[in-house]
Amino acid sequence: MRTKTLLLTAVLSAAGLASSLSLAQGAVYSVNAVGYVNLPLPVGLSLICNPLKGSTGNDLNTILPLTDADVGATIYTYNGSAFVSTTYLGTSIGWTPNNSVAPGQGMFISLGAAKTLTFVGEVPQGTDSNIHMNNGLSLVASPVPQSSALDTMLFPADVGDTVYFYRGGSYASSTFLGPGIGWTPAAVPGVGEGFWVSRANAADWNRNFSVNN
Amino acid sequence: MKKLITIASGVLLLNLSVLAQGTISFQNVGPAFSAQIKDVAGNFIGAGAAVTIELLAGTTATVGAFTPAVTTSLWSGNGWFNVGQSPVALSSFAGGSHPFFQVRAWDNSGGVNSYAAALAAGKATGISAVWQLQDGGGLSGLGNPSAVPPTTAPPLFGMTGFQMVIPEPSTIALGLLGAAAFLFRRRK
Repeated sequence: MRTKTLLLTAVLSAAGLASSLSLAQGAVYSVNAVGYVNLPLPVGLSLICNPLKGSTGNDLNTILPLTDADVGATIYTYNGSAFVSTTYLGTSIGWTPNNSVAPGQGMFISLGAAKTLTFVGEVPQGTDSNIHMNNGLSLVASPVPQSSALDTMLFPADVGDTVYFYRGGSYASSTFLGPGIGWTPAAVPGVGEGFWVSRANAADWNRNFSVNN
Repeated sequence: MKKLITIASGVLLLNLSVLAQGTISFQNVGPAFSAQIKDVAGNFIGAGAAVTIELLAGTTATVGAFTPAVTTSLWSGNGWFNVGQSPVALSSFAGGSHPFFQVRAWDNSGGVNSYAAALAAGKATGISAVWQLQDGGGLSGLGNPSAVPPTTAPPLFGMTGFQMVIPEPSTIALGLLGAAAFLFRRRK
């Protein structure tokens, strides 16, 4: 999964613009960073996420409009105890049901042919960049479109908590072994990548992200 | 008719073998779970130790080794082994099932490559109690890579830690006796 650098550029430009305006006029400006993320996906299953906040909501017809060539594409979200599926039935019907997938929530997508998905929207900031994780199993993602080690993205973890990435058709896991050892091996989700987390305790992943910082 | 039955049996066996591919994360740490292993001195086995761990399994408490053997010699420190490695497919156990397991450990220094050989050589060994895989961390039973979407492989939930020991001379003798009996039976 590769991210267009445009998004990062947009974020950085916005941040730079905000700080220069603040310096020049002594005022604080709120900057919404809008951009897009391209996710090239293979045929079959991939574990992804919605990396950006949709401008008019996060329902699938808004964030992931496909074409008639993609009829049958299916998305699986996880409700804490079972998968919930939705299938794309063409441009006239759309996703059925038209479920919502917010940034920070992971989802499997099953495609009949390789395809690059394009997500367009805003970078989640403030409380929009915070998510709650239950104890047990959750299907999550970074609520901010960043690829960085979980430690540096303020991901809360207890010893033994384990994440699972679905890469190349199989799972790769990483377990947190405490502050001294950290995640073994390093856990670095990609932009637009979802992952499982198996936790002993519920916790909030609070990024309180801002493009101005 | 016979031919048909033979073909049907073959197809059934093939299907069973495809279904029976549960996966396990062969590691002794997970959410609210830690079954650390200590060396002879009572310290948690450190990173890079010359110790091999082998997984035994069964559908009942009578467990046996896999062929080829499922082993690891990767240690992360604090008595934790094989953390973050690829899940192991257990060809005789279905995804979602709860097999019985046991692990045994031995000092592999000098190229000792089996538990029996370690016993015979008087090397440090250790063996866990037999346990049945438990649910934990939101995971229930073995992982199922064939499910859509696939379910994830759990760590060795239910295992308890243990300490390695140097076998007593009498234990070594028994081990040698067992090995000799085994060889004798094979020759027969």
